[in-house]
Parts: sequence; structure tokens; C-alpha cells
Amino acid sequence: MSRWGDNLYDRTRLPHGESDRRLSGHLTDEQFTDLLLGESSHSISEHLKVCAECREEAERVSGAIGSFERKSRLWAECETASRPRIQARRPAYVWLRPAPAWAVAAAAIALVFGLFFHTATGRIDRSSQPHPEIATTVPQPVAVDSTLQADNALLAAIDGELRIEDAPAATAYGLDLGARAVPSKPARKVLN
Amino acid sequence: MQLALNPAMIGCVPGNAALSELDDIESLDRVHRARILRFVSFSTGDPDLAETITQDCLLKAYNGRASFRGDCSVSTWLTHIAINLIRDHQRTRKFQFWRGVQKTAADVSEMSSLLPSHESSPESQLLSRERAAQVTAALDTLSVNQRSVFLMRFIEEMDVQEISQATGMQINTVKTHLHRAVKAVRLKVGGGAA
Repeated sequence: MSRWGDNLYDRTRLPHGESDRRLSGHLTDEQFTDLLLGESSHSISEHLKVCAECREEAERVSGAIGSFERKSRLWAECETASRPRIQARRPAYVWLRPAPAWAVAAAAIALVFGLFFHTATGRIDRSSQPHPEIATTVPQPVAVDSTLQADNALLAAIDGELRIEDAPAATAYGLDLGARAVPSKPARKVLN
Repeated sequence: MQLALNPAMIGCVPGNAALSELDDIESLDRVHRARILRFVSFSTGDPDLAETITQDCLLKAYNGRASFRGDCSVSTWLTHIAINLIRDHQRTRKFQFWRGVQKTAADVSEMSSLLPSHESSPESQLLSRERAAQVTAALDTLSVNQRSVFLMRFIEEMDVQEISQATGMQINTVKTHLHRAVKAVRLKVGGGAA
């Protein structure tokens, strides 16, 4: 077989050997790679103009890569669409930036102190004032001179009665109640 | 690693838009999730693992947005994070286990073939699916690094410098991976004719 007539794809004789392609005059793997990379030299371009076999092979390989690119892109888009997207996993405290955090802390402290003082002053105020229920149900005593005199007279009468009743027993024990008799203490005047 | 490069040299344009984009995780998710999911899925070959890595990638970007200096695009930065997460999973025994059962797991290419196509005729649809499956089969023969580099260049349409930036590889290493990946794809797809 002549040099130019050597079949590039006859891999039973020289399986994909580089020397085979060099001898055949077709593009080598390096030249073919440069062609696909778009870095083809002038000699490669000139060869493609005259060699339909290499031109057809280049179109076939680049077309296959293009088909692979489209298929794989479609596959990836379908896979991506069918799966949940990543959500931003923000921690619960992320909204507390440094400056607002100090502000929130200061506000919390102020709130605690405010509640404390409010409660404390409330207790003081309540302890200094009478309970409203007691104030309304317990009437204030009203002092009247005639009432006091009547009460004192009543107490004196009771004292007299007691002395009379206890006299026989006291005399039996040798006591003289009349000498120790102390009248009941008169009721004091209640001041408002 | 990408931070060591000069933004002017690599063409990255820092901007306030990128920074504000990172401030909203829901927007970040909406714009970039499908792209990251596709990249990780076809890099690892495991859609379930890819979902986990994609989620981790977006959360990591959002939580670490303060470290983003705008030396490159958000997209490139996210890809860089995703690559690091893939590498982390590669080191774990779990990844080794899932690689072992990968053959019995649902194949990403099978799922993509079930999707409706915009091709004009049934024949075109069938041809398109076959070609996509051939590329997927070719990617299965590659290492994770080669697959990632191929995906970044031909699917994410990142240039070699951006790939170098995202992966931390030298440009020559990136090109080597690309050559090997293209060779594998050429063998699978190009070898079917003639």
C-alpha cells in the first residue's frame, strides 16, 4: 500500500499508532488536538483543505463533543431542577449584629432595673397606705364626751357589783377589799 | 495557587459584581449549580457523589467568600473548589468503594439519553445520542485528571490558562492531559467511520 493510500483507520494493522498517521500524512494526535483547541497552524489548515478524510473526522469528533455537551447540560439542568435548592442557613442570632447587640443588652438591663424599681416602690406605696377594703369596712371610732361618761359610769357600777359579790369570800380569807378597792380606769378619750 | 498569578497576565477581571454574586447563596446556587454538577458528575462518574460535592462546593464558596480576591472569575474559583473536593474524595476509601460499584450504578450517559433532544429528525437524535455515548465511553477510559481537564476545556469552554489556574497544574501538564483525552475521544468517535 502506498504512503498516501494507507488507511488511517485500519487498526488491525497499526492500531491508532502515531507513526501510522505520520506515515499516512494525516493529522497527528497533537495536530488534531491543536485543531480542536483552535490553535491550528497554517499547515493544518492547508492539510484540511485537501484532505476530506481529516476534515470529516474533525467534524465528526467536534460534533460528538457538541452532542455530549448538549446532552450533559440538559441532564444537569434536569437534575438541578428536580432537587431542592440550597437555602441560606443563618443561625438564629445572626440578626444580632454587634452594635444592635449592645443596644439590646442595654435595653434588657434597663428593663430589668426598671421592673425592679417599679416593684419596690409599689410595695412601699402600698405599705404606707391603708388597704382600701379595710378602710371601707372598719369605721373610724368617733369619740363623744357623753358616751365616755356613760361608759365610765357603767364600769364603776360593774366594779361596785363585783366588790359586793366578792366580799363574803374575801372576808372569809381575812381580806379587806374595801381598803384595796381601786376603781376601774376610766376610758381614755380617743383622738381621731 | 491561582492567587499567585497576576490577574492582568491571565486575563481575570476582578469586580464588585463577582463579590456581590457570592454574597447571595441562592443566586450562587441558581447560576452555578447545574454547571458544577455536570462537571463533577462526568469527572467522577457518580451522580450521587457529584450531588454531594456540588452542595459542598457551593457552601464552601459561600462560607469562604471573604477569601475570594477577584483574581479570577467566580466560575473558575468554583471549579477550583470542586476539583479540590474531588481530590479529597479520591483519597477516601468511600470513593474507592464507589468506583468499584460504578459499573452497576446508573450511568450518567444512560440518563442523558432519556432526555428529549432538539435534533430535527429521529435519525439525527439517534446519531447525537450515539456520539454522546461514544464520548462518555472515551471519558471512562481516562484518569480523573484527564477527564477533568477535557471537561473544563471542551464543556466548560475554559482556556488552557484558566484550567492551569483552576487545577494548579502547569500549562504543559494541562496540554498533555488534553492530548491524551482527545486521542481517546478520537479513537472512539473518529474510528467508527472510514
